[in-house]
Amino acid sequence: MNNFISLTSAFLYKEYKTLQYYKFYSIIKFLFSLVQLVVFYYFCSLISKEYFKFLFFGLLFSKIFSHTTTVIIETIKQEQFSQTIYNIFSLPYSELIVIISSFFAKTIFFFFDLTIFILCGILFFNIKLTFNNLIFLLFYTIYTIFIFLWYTIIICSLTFLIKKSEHFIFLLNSLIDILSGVYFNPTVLPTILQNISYLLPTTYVLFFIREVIITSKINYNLLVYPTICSIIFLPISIIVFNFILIKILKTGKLTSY
Amino acid sequence: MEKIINVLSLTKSFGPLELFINTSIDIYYNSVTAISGKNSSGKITFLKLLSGLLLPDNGKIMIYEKDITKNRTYAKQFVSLALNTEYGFYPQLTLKENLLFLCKIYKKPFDDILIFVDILNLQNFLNNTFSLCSSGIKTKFWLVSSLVKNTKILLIDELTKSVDFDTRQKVYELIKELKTKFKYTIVFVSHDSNEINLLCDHWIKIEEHKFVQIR
Repeated sequence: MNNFISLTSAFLYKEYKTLQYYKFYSIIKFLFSLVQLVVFYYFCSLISKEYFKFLFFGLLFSKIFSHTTTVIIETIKQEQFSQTIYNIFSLPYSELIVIISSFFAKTIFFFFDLTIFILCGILFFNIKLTFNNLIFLLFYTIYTIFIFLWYTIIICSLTFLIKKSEHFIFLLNSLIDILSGVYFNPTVLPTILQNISYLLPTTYVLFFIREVIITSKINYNLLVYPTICSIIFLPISIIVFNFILIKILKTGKLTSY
Repeated sequence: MEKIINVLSLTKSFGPLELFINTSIDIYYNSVTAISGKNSSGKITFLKLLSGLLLPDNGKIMIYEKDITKNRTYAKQFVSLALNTEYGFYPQLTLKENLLFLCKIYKKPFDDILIFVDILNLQNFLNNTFSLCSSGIKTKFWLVSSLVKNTKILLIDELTKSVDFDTRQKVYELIKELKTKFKYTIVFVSHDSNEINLLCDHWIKIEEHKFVQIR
């Protein structure tokens, strides 16, 4: 645990210094969030004001979920391009521990992004959240990141195995967003797609947060299925990662992107 | 002399290219060993295999009598690798920031590494971003950064690549000091026979994709 903390703090330092180098990156990210909300707010105002609130929490969930996948792809891509992957894989820890600690360091900065997104909603788009709601959202974000860690590890393995996999992952994430009900309730989907939707753990995690914030109901039963999925798939994802890692260490394609 | 690394019946292939073809070699504790050979003979591949960044097709690589092909994390505790490429560090970060990153990981005080920074005259370049450094500076930086890790086996690719004459003498002095004062076991790739004669206790050549012990 001590080693994991020192690794994460080292990556946190590296992330901070990298962010200092790319000074405008944070501003552009903020503007992107703002423009995204303006566009959705405009379209929602054509339907109903309640729909924007529904959509806002869908987008919030999508932001958290896509962070768990895109950050890991971005990390591996950068480490492969700069060949720092040799240095970080030379560390006397398991490669998965190194990647996860790098992911957690980036996740700490992600909380700032998420805070800005929520603040934009509150300040400019009439989203009403109590202090308790904000604390709840913090724990919800941590839960979501941990519950989908298995998916992060699978994506990480795919990034090593399939070169230029980000378009495939983007496609997969977009489908998950649509089927889980980020933009509209899954009940409007055709029956076959509804059935797929109810197989996805993301659907329940999203239902849960909407119920809590919009209707003030806390239904923990919704979290049982995603938690069971996590318990089952986390060990499987670790086995898959180690299998693929050994494969690329044999072929010598560690730095090939 | 005590053997620290035993390579047994090693074979590594990349498609049709077969390297080392079932050969064995030993590396001894607190010695300096040079590896030489033609381009594409497998010198860096050998260093990567010793550091657990590549896995062989056949054979065993024993470090302190444990097979590192089955336990890479164990190997990584003892081995430090200086690859001497143009890349390998965060290009946006300065040399100092890259070193601090490694020091934080290995829980080593930054001041402990400054002695090596001074020996190789890197102190004036610490605030330069890695991507803007010259090849010679990068070579020296690879060497310094490999010393952040608390290991006793140091693997170096092309010890004095792109460095000027004065620095070359300093690198040689540092290698001698690392061996005598800090008790390192050093394996380095070299194409320079003078360098090999000056520094090495042992010399391994890779000929026809097999190890040949010259000295």
